[in-house]
Amino acid sequence: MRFVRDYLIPRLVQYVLVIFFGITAVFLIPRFTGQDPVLEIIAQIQTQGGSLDPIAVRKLTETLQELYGLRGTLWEQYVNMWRRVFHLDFGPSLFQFPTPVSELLRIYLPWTIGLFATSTLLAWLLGNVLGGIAGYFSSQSWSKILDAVIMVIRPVPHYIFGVLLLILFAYVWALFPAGGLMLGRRTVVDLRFVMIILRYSFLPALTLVVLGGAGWFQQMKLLVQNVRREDFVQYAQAGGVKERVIISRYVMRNAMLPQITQLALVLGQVFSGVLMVEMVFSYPGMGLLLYRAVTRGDYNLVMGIAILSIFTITTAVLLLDLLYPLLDPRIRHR
Amino acid sequence: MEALRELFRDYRFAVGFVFLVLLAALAFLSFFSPYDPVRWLQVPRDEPPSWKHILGTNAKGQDVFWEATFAIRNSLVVALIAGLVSRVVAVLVGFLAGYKGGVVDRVLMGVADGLLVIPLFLILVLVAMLLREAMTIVNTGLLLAFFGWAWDARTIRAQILSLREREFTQTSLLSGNSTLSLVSKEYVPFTIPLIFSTLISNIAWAIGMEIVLAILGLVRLEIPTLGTMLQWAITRQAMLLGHWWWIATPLALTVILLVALYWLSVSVSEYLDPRMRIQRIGAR
Amino acid sequence: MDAIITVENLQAFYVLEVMGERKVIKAVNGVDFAVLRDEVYGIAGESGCGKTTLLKAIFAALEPPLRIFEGKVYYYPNGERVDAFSLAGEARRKLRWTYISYIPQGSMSVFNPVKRLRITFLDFLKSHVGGKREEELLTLAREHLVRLGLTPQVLNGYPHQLSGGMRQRVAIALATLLKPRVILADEPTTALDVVAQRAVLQLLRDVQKEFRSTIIVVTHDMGIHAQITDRMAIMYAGRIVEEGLTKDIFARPLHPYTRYLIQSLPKVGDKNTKESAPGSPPSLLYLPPGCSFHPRCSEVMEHCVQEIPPLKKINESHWVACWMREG
Repeated sequence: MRFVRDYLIPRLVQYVLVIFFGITAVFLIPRFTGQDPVLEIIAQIQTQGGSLDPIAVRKLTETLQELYGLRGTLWEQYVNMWRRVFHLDFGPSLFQFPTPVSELLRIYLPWTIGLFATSTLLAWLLGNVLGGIAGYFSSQSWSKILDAVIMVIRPVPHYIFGVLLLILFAYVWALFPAGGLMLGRRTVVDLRFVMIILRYSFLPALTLVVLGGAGWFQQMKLLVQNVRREDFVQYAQAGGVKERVIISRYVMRNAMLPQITQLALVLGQVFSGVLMVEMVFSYPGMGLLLYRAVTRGDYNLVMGIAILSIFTITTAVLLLDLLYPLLDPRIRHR
Repeated sequence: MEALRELFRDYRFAVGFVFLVLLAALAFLSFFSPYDPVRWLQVPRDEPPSWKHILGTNAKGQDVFWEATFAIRNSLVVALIAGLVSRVVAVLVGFLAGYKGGVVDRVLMGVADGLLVIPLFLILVLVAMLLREAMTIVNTGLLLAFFGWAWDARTIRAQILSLREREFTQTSLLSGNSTLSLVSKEYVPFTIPLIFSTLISNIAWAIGMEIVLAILGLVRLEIPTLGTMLQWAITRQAMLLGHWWWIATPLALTVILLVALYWLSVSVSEYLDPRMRIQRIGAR
Repeated sequence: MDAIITVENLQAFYVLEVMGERKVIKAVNGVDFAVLRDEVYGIAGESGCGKTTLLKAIFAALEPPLRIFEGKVYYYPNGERVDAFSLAGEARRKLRWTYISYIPQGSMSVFNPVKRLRITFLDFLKSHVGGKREEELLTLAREHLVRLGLTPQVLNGYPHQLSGGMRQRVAIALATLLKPRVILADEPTTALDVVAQRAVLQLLRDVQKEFRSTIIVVTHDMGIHAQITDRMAIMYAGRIVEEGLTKDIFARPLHPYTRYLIQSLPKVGDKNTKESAPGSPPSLLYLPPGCSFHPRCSEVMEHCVQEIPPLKKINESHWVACWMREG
């Protein structure tokens, strides 16, 4: 099977390699910066007025080193870290001591995945369909107006766009809550619960769909303008094939393919955008968790979030890569 | 010069350019500021815009207008450092991978792809967290440069690959020119416009990234940048208190700056891409 | 003899706006000819002489920046004369594939790359044949392939799975699906190896015999004209410079340009070096004054620089535009 050898295996190898190097980077980078998080925390405690005697300092240092996996040689630390990664054990969180980091991640991750998956899918579909139609009818005035509007929206970063929506729809017109959805203990999933989620997720999702959709729109428009000039489209037009069929089956269907590859390439950036939007709207996901972890110096939690995110993104990219051959026969039947 | 004249024909280029010049002028004004950008309580606090303070004053007792001039200047410096330094890396990697091909290409592009797949932002946060105290303007710029080259290295590599396929590469090599003179004489002129267009988009990326790092409190917050200005306004509840002039100023400046940069880069890359140029000609 | 396509004083130009400047490329610059029922008509000339543009105009496929400045193209469906340019969109769509059909240049990419060929064939059939179920249409397509000596199995594959020659033959099958009266073939054998070329030419000949269609072949390759065309025209810089029966043109070429084209063909046992026309075709943007060929012509006279030679009748079927044949 050439498909397995030329397509599948390289991608699986890449999957494993990226995870390996990514997590190794997360391990090494803090150690290269020459900063000692343990000393920093002790200093933090001392500046906050807690006077510690030398014995207490040494004991605390040892405990913290243990927790951070900073004991032993670099190699031992490294092996140790992998063991912990496989057991999903990232030690306790510091700002919610002694809740384990993995417990926090378990609570917050589904929210992020939900927002990430829904908004990315919506943005991709909307952007591509609108962009495709606008590209096919690029000489029409509505297509030009839409394009001009998107030229202004596209360059705005997630954080800024989020703040703008927040000011507009939560302060000026208080249509939506300015964030602050609390994660209680597991409640029953009923209609009320769903409505609450929708209310709190609307603005974050809107930000992501509009900004993401704007990007897909522009690329799709460009792709369609080029595909429209391809021989097989012109030939179908010459042959009198119905326009509806040409738009959907010839133009869109072909322009979509590079957009899937592109999605795999930018998924990491999209994910970063999700984290930022979660911060703006205090949406109870990994972004908010990250914000809290960073502002309180919780390294364990940041490491945990980074490692889990690497897993999430690489897996999503792998899934896209596996999906792609189903849509492109040139890969499937070599 | 002919190219520049044609670029100015595109309204997006013209508008982007004018706004960028205006913002640069604003940044330049900071040298004549009557206030110290770092000190607090130099003027009455929380005053709405007036003749004396055209953009009002903030809760720290600083004049928002003059603070903004410093913010633009510093943000531009951070972004320029990030953009220029990462260009060096991107160009080196792109040229090397594209020209050498083979194993070198695969390794370098593997690294670049890895950097692209991993949510870089998180690694950036991790590093910034450890370097927090050292996150001056220069260091922030360098850190962003360290992470901001992968995408553009890919773009430049693709360009080199296509140049390598062209005839003049073979002719030049066969006629005994050294690789170095080939690269500097033949490739560099072709790629300079592309490098310029990636520089603009990288600068925009760096400005956005600086804002996020500032929001997370991961840069030196006393140094005014667009990010730290926004950070102070948000943490001091400018939104809730209705001090719109404080939060609107960095927001508006950021949006104008980024839209201007984006329009410039779109205009330049359309100018570069012959396929899109034909579209402009053919559209009539 | 019945005409099936007539072209009258056709001028088709590309109008471009380059940096605020209007440029006109005179791709087809005053062309007259008639193609008769049942014949294979060839159009020859170097690349950039306007051959493909002429085909587009005959097919009435006019997309900006291509525009018709003057002249007419007439079709003769059911014996009546129809102006191809004034046909309404739907009427024109109906004539395509049933009356006039088109085999494109380089069929490498004329099929939708992500769909099985079956789907492409169905798309074309459905838009012309109403009131039939998909199975019936598919049977139609299969029978057509078998008639042309191709295996119906190709319908189950994707375009990239076929070889170049096979793809071109399938393209011919697609173009002839509805037994059109006229088939336009644009460089049908370019980019194919010699064996595949033969198969494609054979197929064209078969199609012509089987369906009694008229074929207009455009190619720069004089060898192909010698093999399959009955009559032919030589184009240079947007004009026809010679027209006649193919055997006459090869036996007694009258225009110096035609002689160059024929001399450049390899012949068995001929050890002389091939002579092709010196220089290159003129830019269609800035045509030289007088006869466009004069800068490359070895027999140029004073008159050639001043005035464009008209197409002049030499005998019943042979025409040439050259001042040397004057009087």
